[in-house]
Amino acid sequence: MTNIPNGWATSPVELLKLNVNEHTEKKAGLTYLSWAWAWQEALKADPTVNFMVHMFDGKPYMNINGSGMVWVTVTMFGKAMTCFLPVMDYKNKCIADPDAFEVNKTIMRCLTKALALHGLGLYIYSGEDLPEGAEKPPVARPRELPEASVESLNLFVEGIREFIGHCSSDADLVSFWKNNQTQLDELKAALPDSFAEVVDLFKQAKSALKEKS
Amino acid sequence: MKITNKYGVPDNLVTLASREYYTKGKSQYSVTELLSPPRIKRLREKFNENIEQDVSDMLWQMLGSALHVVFERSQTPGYVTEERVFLEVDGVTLSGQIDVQQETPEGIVLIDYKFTSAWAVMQDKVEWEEQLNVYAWLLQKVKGKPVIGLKICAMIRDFSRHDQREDYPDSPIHMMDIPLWDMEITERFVKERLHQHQLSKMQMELGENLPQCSNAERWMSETVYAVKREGRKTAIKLFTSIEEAQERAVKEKGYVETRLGEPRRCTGNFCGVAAHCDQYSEWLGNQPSGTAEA
Repeated sequence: MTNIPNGWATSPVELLKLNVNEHTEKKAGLTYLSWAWAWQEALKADPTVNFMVHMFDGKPYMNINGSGMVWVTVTMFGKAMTCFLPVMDYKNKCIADPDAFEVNKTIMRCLTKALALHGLGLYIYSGEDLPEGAEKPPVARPRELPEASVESLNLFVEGIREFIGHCSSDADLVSFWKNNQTQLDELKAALPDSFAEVVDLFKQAKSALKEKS
Repeated sequence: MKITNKYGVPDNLVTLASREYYTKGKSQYSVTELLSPPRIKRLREKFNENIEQDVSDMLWQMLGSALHVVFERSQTPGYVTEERVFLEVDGVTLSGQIDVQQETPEGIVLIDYKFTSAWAVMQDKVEWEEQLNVYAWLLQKVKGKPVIGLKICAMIRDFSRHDQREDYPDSPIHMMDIPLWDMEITERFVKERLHQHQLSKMQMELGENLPQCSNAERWMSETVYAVKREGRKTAIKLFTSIEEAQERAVKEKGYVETRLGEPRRCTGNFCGVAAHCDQYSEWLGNQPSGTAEA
């Protein structure tokens, strides 16, 4: 997918062309790039690459009205790029008073985002499926819906986010899915990204129940 | 599904084959879909664009559809033909197209046409019994009239007057009585099938394993043991017990050949999705390379 000699990028322009799709995963409708893989590529491209996590009053995040924002600077090819990211839960909502685990996860995500400022996987953040210059396969366009229907589907997704936590068994989850099958079919056809988010929510809820038991 | 034309038959036959005479209308499940294995339905949905069927393999299917169209014209007092009924079950719309309803003072006799082989008529076709009973349940729920009898009107495409086998049908059009189930039992059956389909839909979306097809759903044939002798092409006799076969082989100074049972629906790709099915791949992977036993 890339035109980079030996598969190694040696400049921001080549990093921009690197296809990272095999190293991503989708969660709650968003695409995440593996930080370890991204760092490995950064090291290949510039062995002097380094990153810095900004500290605020001895904490690795800035307190904004009780929620946290982490800041990471990556220096690569002799240039420093700084990025920031709020500490969020699986619904992409800010977490009040985040714990160490949540902050750590956000720092690594922020590192990946800062690497994107240097070109690596930047296309993901601009909502593209492939890096620039790569040929895109034809994709089916989602069905277009009137605004009111989109709004009602968004409300439906909101409802799922709210209520999925109340499912206390696999049977509950199955029942929740079955009872909403018609809307789920509609969501899949009209808003595939939101449907992917719902699928992720169910997967997470299932694995959480499995862990509990 | 793509219809191919490998043998260069006239294009209008391809057009006919591509046309769906049966639509499930606004329903989410037709009775036929409800009764088919969830794994097959899900794989067909997923790989619909990759499935190919040649028009030459659709001859009987097309003739069956043609007959339904012809029968629809045979309006006769006291008979309702080709009526599609819809019912909402557990939030899902289910539909069934009923070939013939014979109205009697006591209730409805439901008749279904089957354009089939003599062999099929001679088997206990559980799926026919299930299909007709689900139709009966639908009809009673929708119309509020009792169904008092179920019949199959089998049109036997390979009928031969010379066949003397026991249970062989007497005529090319053969009427068969089908047992009528209790309404409550049928309702439980319908809801359980529906649950299995809905569950498989969720499993598919979440990337989980699909439920496996049962041996009956895979049309699994029985393993048989053929007693054979060197120099003779055909078996002397087939046995379902290896002990009996070995005993006979000793008497005949022959040997026993094991003919393993196989899932004929998969091996013949009658489901259309055998190439995409991990259950079938696993079965193929487990097959021994040799089957002969001395």
